[in-house]
Amino acid sequence: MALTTDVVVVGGGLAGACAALAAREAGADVLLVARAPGATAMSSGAIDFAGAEDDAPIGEAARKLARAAPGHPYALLGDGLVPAIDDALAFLQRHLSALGLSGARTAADRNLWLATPLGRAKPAALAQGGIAAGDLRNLAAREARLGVVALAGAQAIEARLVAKGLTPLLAPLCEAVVVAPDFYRQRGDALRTLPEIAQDLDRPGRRAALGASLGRAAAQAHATHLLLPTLGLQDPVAARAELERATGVPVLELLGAPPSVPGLRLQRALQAALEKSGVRSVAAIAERSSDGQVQIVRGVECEPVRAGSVVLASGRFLGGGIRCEADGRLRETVFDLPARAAGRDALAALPNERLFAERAAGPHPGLAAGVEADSELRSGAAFVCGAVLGGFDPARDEGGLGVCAVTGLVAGRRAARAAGKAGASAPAGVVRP
Amino acid sequence: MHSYDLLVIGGGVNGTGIARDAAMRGLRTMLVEKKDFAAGSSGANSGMIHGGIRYLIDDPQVTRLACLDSGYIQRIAPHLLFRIPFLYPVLLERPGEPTLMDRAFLYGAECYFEAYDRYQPLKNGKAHTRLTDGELHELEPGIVPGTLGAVTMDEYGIDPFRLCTLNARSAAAYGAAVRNHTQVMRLLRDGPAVVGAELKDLRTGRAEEVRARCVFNAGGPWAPKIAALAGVEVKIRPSKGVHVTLDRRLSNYGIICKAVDGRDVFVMPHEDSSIVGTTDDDFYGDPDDLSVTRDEVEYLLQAVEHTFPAVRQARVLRAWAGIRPTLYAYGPLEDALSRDHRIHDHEKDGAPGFFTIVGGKLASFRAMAQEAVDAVARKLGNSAACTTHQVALPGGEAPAPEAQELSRKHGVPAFAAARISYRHGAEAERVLRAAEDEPDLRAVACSCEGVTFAELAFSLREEFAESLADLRRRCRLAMGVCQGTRCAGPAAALVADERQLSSEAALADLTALLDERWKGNRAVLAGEGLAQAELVQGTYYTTGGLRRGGGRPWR
Repeated sequence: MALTTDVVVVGGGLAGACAALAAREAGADVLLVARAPGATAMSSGAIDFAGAEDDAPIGEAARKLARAAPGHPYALLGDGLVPAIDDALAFLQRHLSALGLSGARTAADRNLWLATPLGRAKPAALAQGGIAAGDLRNLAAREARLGVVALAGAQAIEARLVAKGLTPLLAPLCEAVVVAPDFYRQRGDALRTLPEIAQDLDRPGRRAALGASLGRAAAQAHATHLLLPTLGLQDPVAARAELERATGVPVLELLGAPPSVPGLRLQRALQAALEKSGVRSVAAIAERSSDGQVQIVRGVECEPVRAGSVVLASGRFLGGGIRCEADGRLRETVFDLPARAAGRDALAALPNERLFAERAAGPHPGLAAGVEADSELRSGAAFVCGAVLGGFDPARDEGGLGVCAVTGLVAGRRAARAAGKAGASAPAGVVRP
Repeated sequence: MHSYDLLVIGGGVNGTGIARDAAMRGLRTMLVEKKDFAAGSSGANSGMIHGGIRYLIDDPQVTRLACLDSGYIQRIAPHLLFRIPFLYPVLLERPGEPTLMDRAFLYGAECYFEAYDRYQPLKNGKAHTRLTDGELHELEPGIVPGTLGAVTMDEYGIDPFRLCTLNARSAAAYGAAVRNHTQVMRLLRDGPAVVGAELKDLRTGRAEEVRARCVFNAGGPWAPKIAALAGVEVKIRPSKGVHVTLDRRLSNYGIICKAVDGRDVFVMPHEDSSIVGTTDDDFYGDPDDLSVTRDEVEYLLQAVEHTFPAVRQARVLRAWAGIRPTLYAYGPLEDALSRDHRIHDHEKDGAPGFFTIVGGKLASFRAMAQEAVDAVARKLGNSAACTTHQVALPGGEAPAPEAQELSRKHGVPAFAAARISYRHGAEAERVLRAAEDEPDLRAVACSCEGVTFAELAFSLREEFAESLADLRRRCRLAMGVCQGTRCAGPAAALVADERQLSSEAALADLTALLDERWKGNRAVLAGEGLAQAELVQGTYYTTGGLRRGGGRPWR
């Protein structure tokens, strides 16, 4: 028995979810096949479209990326790029309201500057409620005393580095100090990892106890704001409101490094949005069947899929969409589409200065490997979006999840149209008939 | 100006070993190292205290010395040594019936190992055994089928970084001044005599002159450069050796494999990983700037694959290189060069008071240090006896505490306690004591290698560690399968705390560690290694914002 659908999306990260939601909005019946959570779940959870050395508006920074690198997915969108970013910003806020997502409204806005676990600032257009509220540009503009909360163990040690890093960024009006509540006092508490602390704070009784302890510590340190390492996994909006009531000061949240709590929350919120909009999701491995169609494999079962169109959103190396074999050959793992890095189909003759820079900071064109698509985001019979598309490097572009959202949205709409669905909500300039 | 009897230049196993021996004999000693202990050749070897079976025919004195000293090292640092039984499978030249040549080869191998058995008691090793093909595969099913059988041999592995650190610490405990990150800028002369050195602390930039009655050059591959400071020529035949690290213990046995050119290549279990090595090629470059080529990696993997095909399933974590400061000879192939050592008293070269040691093996470092200090002591009229073979290194004084017990008592996870117990022996309790007053130090910084913050703090406070790279060498930080993805940031925060570093300085140190790890990963990027690289990029650059400077980025 074949599964029949208008659009099948392979990959359940931000790109795949955006494609599925967009196709669904356009009236298509959508099946999403995801093997496991991928790079989105490990991300900081902040959605970055493009950074800029000169703090330019997001749309301008994105156009600059497109001009600098013809292989960048933004370059494929041509004049549709800025409208597509506007579109994605509104789309994400609409579908991810449970996260309290806020930040840029349009591509004419500038990035938020978010506190990172290393005490640096990261630009992103959108972030989850407590993280976005911690916009450093905003904080630095007021007389404030930011209490960086040190809870226990490794997190407490890292909090001191965060405070050290933020101090010069926030000076002279605002200063960062370490606030150490007496919340974790048991011998084993030092061993808690950040996801474990998040789980602990999901329990209402524990959250109340933390609120009381934090209130005392904040008062003692004269903190006007508190920066927490996490607001829990389940309901950060409610947790934040509760802790603000208990402490009497604004409560902010730090970005997460892998295993990232905000990343996990983003992944869960996407899952919820997919369910709500009526996308069918299956946990399975997608592969090409012998007749060139998609089939899905669950355990020992194999089911063919009859779909009007296919969206590939399977990620890069971390997501599993692209693989480099031991002989150096690059391979797209689902349909065996041609995959390249810096114009080559193999990473063979290593070390290769053209593919991987000597310093860890890059640039590493080899890590920007992926499928090359045409201006319709097509490669072969599939629409391609997200990290499986080559040509962008989130670490250098400061545009990662944003690229996934934009290309996912465009690919999803085009896939719906290709499957014979109208795509009524697509603004002009994004989807050309 | 400080004045010493002996200034030792070089913090490898020779330099730290000489400093310890000299300090124990009551010589006023100073040890300087421009990078860190074991940052050069002493940390870039197979991590074996082996008896040197390879040298049995050409250099039997090397084999004997290595075996004898292996036994002594077991006595002074029992916690650091781990036994590795080796398998030497004899593969058929062609599939099918073994030829006369095959049989002759196995017979020859067995005779050879039998000769080595004579030295085994010196290092508490077992005599060889001969295995049939069936017995071999019962022990290690991963070896290609249809061998003629195998011969076994007993050897020992060691953490060479800790060995050097412990020698340096022991030297300090006996009164030596110990300075890493300190470079010798020039040697002080009094007429022809070498009487001291001008030193520069590379971290603070501070310069200092010290006087010494004797100066010992233990620079390894840098020895010719250091000798040139005294206007003396020291010739070595430097040779590059490449190793790769696998993400798993491919086997619990060491396996001797045949490379495409007939050379022996070993795959050895080391902590949670395996080490494959090594190559041996003449080196003409700068020992401060080593890189590994794809060809060198492929040569090693091909050698193991020939005997153990599943090596291709393992993930190659990194490739690394070191330079052997081999004794100079014109003519022989690299492999055939003597592994013996030489101690030069440069009085004969017109530089009295200046000495150089070159050549030798990790396994016989203690004996070489003894010989070196004997030469200095004669000159200085010191007649104290060498006791480095009797007195334990720090942590080797008593049996290491049991991991479960350590875990219960100090509230750290048992997997970390087990590693602390290995790395620190009888000192494990002391390492964890800091966590009693500072409970955050109980936390695990690196879950791959079981490193707690307490251990990092101990190395920063007691073991001359100054940077993340120093912690990597002492505690295996960032040496596990994730190569620093998870631990480098948190550890940088601890270093910043302990050393009162600014955010800029702490993140510069973090960048240096990530660069060093990347250098080794970059040579072997494929398969899951690329996913790991993507995760490192995501953690530190995309999420961490490390690439941007510390300035205010908004307008």
